[in-house]
Amino acid sequence: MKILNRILILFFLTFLYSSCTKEEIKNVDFSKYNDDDPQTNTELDQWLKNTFLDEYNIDVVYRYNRYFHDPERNVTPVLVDRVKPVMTAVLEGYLLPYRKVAGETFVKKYAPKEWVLLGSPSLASDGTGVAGTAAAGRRVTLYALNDQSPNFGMIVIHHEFTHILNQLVAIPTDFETISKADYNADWSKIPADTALKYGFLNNYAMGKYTEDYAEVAAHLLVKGQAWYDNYASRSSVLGRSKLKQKEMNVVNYFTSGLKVDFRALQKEIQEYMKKTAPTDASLTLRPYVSTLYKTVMINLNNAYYTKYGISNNFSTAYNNMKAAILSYSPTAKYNMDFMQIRFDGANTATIRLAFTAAAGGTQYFADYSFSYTYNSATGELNFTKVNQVGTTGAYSNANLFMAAFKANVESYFTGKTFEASRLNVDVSPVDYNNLGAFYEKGNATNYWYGTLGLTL
Amino acid sequence: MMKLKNILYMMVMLITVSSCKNEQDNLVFGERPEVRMNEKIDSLNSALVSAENGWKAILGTGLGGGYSFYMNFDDQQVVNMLADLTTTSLTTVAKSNYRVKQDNGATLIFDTFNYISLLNDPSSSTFGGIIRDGYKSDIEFGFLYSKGDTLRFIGKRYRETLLLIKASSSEKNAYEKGDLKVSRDNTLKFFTDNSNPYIDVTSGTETYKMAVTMNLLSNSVNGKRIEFASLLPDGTTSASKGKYAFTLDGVTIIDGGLAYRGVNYVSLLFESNKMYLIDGKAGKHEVKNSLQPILPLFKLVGSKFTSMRSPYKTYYPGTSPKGLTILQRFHNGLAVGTGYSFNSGYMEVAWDVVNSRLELRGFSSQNGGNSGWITTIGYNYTLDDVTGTYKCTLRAAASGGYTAPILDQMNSFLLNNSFRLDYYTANGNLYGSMTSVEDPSIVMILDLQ
Repeated sequence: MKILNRILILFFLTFLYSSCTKEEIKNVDFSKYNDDDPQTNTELDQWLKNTFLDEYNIDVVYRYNRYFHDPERNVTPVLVDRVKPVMTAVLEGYLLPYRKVAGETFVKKYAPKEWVLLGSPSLASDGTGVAGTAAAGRRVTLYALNDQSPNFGMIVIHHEFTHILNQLVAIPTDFETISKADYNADWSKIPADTALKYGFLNNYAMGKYTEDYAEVAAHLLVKGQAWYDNYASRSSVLGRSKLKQKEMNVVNYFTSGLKVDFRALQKEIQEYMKKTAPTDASLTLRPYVSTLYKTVMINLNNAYYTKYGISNNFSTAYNNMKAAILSYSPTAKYNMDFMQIRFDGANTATIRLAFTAAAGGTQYFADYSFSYTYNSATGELNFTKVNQVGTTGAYSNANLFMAAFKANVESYFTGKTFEASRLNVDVSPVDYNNLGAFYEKGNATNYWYGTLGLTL
Repeated sequence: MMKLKNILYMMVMLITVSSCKNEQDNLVFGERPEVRMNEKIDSLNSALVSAENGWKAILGTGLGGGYSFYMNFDDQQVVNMLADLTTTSLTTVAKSNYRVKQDNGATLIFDTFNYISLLNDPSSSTFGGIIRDGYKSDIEFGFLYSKGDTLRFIGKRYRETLLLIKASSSEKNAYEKGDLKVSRDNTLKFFTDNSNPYIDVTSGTETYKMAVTMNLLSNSVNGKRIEFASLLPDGTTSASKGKYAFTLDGVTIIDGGLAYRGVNYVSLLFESNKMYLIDGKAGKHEVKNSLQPILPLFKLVGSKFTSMRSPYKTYYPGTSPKGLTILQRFHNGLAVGTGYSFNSGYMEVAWDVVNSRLELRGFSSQNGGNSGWITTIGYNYTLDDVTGTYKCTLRAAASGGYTAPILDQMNSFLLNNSFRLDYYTANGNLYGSMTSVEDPSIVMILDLQ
């Protein structure tokens, strides 16, 4: 028994000793741990703290850390001087529009909390690159900020945030079916015009329906409706219809699914873009009048004329014409329903008056032929009356009111230059994309405007 | 029962003792790692900041050559920088951030954009690096050690050395008034004006001329390289290539210098309009210019000289009668020998060293040489590296142009003779000679292109 005890003791001794000697792990004292938390206290740092950290709990990381990018690639740090312009763009082109439209809680809750800024793109050896990434709804990484305009990131930001929103409310299942057959993982080899033809915004959108979705939302918000419609108009018939279906899907998703008024958001972001890029013609109407927007529909009974007003010169001409039509036949008492400017050729236009008898029934047209010149760079538009191009139907109707037309409408539209533009007042989101205005050059108090139409 | 208790006591005691012992830090390096790391980071930070006149920095790149910087670190994580990258970077100070962090040791990171980031940039449009990898140069550097006035770092990814050497107050002044640019311009001018620079070397019993070739371009292909080459006693040649960066008084050869034939050369010094190559023992060797290159011509065709040309009806002294016949056959034939009438042209032999090929070209023109047609005949060649003897075989018969009939004698010379190349100087001009081995009375003197 004693021997056994001794053996036992010896055994324990050995065991304990050996386990002791192996116990060499020293715990790290985390109070003294070497945190990597670069903090300077410059004016820039103060601004970032006040504007983003304190207000939105957003940390802006502009000091380089390899952890934030693919370690296989070189990515250079951002220039310090670029940080404020870029983050100002993030604030005014992304956070504030969402804050205004979706609400403070929404933006504070869902906006990504860590924004990493890098100077160069992240390039693969074949030259394809990454301009931005979003991770887990928490971090947005923006690349290539050193040599791009601060708004360069706008598409990327809205693209990435759409991904985050897609994690809150899933993309409607019917979206994927719109272009299901055309998604291609090898997207980078697809030429841009092929993407256009098949109804995609670019080849990147062809990679996957989630990317397609984010691209549609980002382009509608940042590039604007006119740009989007114009892009779609250059596609094939099928492609155009797909782009429009995708637009409808996205608008509906935001408005119904997320309860964020997409059109209001679009307007806010467009206003920001126009403010910061005043020379970017694609944000104005100028490139699109007569080529994309083929008609302008004017009906002074429309509610928006009460809301936004109309110039006296125009309303006088319009109302005189209307009165003349009414007085034409004491029995039928024709009512002028609307006036429509129709850019039906590269330099031929028609001003159409629609009228219906008081008793109702058929709506008749009276068409008056014009020629026009339009400069898409300056937006300058001139009308000249030409001989009527037809004699029957609507042209025959036109003769009924020719004298009144000449005295009122023709004299209003000819002999002066109009400049195409958005309506110069704060327009409701619902009308924002639809209205085109034409101001007399050198006399902005005289103008006419109406609903833009894409088809004749 | 008693025994069992004893055992238990014993166990408790042992555990207590051993656990006590465990609590005492028996640390190999004296302090816990996080404490030692903190000390290291602090000491590096204070070292960087402490240099009141800033630092001279030398950095090698994976694809390009060497680059030099002047850096001034302050205690607000701001670094001011000059660099020998562009004409702007030589004279305009750029400001950015740096920090020192723990990352497998103390690591210095240039964490906002500055000149040093240009070498790292993955867009080829920024500074001409290759896509994705730039110049294969880092912006994160692990600290290795300090020695005297020098801090030594190593690039995290590409493992190139970054040296920081404390600058003196006079060096600081020199950098600030733009002397780095002056020095670089002097060096560029020297090596542009002197096309065949060399030094005379006496080492033991042997004396030789060592060619010093500088690639003055600052690109990611072969830029900022210095090459030494010489003829060995047995007639062969040897060469050694290193990378350099510009300094206030010339050039420094990075990574400790470049050793060649037993001597380690560390820098170039520009002084009183003369250039000196400095060896590791502070020996000064004046860089002189030679009219003809130090290396034999056959070593330089295909690189320094791409072809040897006989210009229209121009026959240089030194051309033998038999050589003249071959050349005249072409030039006189331009007017009458082809079936067409040409009033200008040239004949040249061009080297493609990589593929061991020669091309004989006959150019003919009807407007005095402004435009015309080229006929080419292709050859494969073998080169005896010791004697510099070429032997050609036909690879592709004459094609294109109109001069095939009048290239006949040159073609048959190339196919039926082995030949050697050499330099030939006349009236202060450098030419190349082509001499038949089998019949040394055939000599042609040609332009080196």
